[in-house]
Amino acid sequence: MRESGHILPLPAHVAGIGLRSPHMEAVRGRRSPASFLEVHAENHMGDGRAFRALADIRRDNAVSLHGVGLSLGGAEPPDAAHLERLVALSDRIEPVLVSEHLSWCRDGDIYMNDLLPVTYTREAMSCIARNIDIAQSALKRPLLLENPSHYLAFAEPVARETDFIAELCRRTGCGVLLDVNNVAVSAANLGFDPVAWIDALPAGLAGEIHLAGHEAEDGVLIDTHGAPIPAEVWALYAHAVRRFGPLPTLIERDRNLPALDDLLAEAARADAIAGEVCHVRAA
Amino acid sequence: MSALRELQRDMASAIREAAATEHLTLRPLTTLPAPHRLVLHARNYRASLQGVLASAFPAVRRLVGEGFFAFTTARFASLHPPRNPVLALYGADFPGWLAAAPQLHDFSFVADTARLEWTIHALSDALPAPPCNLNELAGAADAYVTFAAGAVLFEAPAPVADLIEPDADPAQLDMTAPCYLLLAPTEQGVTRITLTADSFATLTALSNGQTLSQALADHAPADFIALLRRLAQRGVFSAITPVSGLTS
Repeated sequence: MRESGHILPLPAHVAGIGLRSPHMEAVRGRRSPASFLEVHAENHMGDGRAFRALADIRRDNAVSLHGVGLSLGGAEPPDAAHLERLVALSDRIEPVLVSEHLSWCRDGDIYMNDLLPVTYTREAMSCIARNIDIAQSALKRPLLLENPSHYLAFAEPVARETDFIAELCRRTGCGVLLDVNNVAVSAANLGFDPVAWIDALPAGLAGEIHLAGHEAEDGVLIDTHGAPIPAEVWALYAHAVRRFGPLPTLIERDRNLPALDDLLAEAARADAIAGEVCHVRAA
Repeated sequence: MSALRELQRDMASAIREAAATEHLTLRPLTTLPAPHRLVLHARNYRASLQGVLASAFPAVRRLVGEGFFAFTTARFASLHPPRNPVLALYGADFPGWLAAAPQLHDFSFVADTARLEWTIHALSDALPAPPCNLNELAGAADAYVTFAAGAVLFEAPAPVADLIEPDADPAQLDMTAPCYLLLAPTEQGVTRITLTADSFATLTALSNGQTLSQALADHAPADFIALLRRLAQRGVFSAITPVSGLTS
């Protein structure tokens, strides 16, 4: 798939929330105040209770699918059976966005249950572009690719991450899911300037923004999705909106899940920041 | 093998097995030595799998204690890595792992408890079957009973249905009392129906393809037809086929 077109009909100035199982019944059968609800695709595959719950929620809400298991950053092509499951879910839910990660998790028939970092080499570019092509062709739609959190750096000379991502987008027509928290975490862990990272990402590629919290451990920031969004991530978000304009923005929380209203409050704050930044831009 | 595949295989085994890396050279960073950074991934990998197992096997965790649960799940995760990116499927082999654990040789009820917890976990995403009409039995000489896809017959030599309760104390239970259950998905979750030994044997015979009269000839539990009627109402069976219907 080569054609571009990851900009989808979402109200860009309104934020959504990541929907996890403890909150599903609360939004089932009604329209959520969040502009869209994002779920982990792997939690709703098949034809069971979890799929039915999501299908019910989809009747009243825009839903986006966020995959974690395709291993697009792997040397091996995506697992055909798993891709088939994702395609089946996407066809039935008709999500507003489908995203995956610029990382790998598969080693032969073993799944590592982690988002492992990619070396930004020519060989990796070729493999990942092939993998994205396979996934997009099966899904019959462009993907958004999320920049990962980094905890280590490879010693070999590699391309700049933003250049690598931009080239992947050029080759495959995919877009970027800009995870602002991951930029902040990686910048702290690897020692680069997060603002410069965002400035180096070409405008027009990002189709969604993720916001989340992180925690410190042994002098390293860990992308736990287990804490409220910290001030530096909100500041970086404002910078991203200033640079890219308002984009569908998602509040992600996986651990220490707060009340639904707390997530909606963070979504409202993202709206307020985007509104303020855009007002200033317009002025 | 490509350089990228080799590097990823090396990195994956380093994370899974804390093995030395041959192809992976990391850039030194100021806050934490490079090898320790790989340990972060190893720790996350192990902890997330242990979390999945803790979520699927809360009673086992309570029965064996935090220390042994952490030890045995770490070993299990190392030797039985996930083969599917859908993590809800991870842990199917764990009851068998516990059954073979030498430390639990005299505590076989732990593996049986794990088996019941996994059965309930596996059924938790299944959809309930519609009720089945038993009226077709009227006037029939005999019948075959087909179980719905989600219905599971479960037996154990210990009272594991009691042991999975949050406040269960093995010291307060008759640990020689066997457990006979029929489990099936319902709209609310998974139902557990306690059976007598005879009812369990009769239902097992039916599930193995015997006709109703054949199954009852061997076991003849009291009020079995009434039980059959209740189970049919709860969606345990997908079909009840009169024998005459099969031959017509």
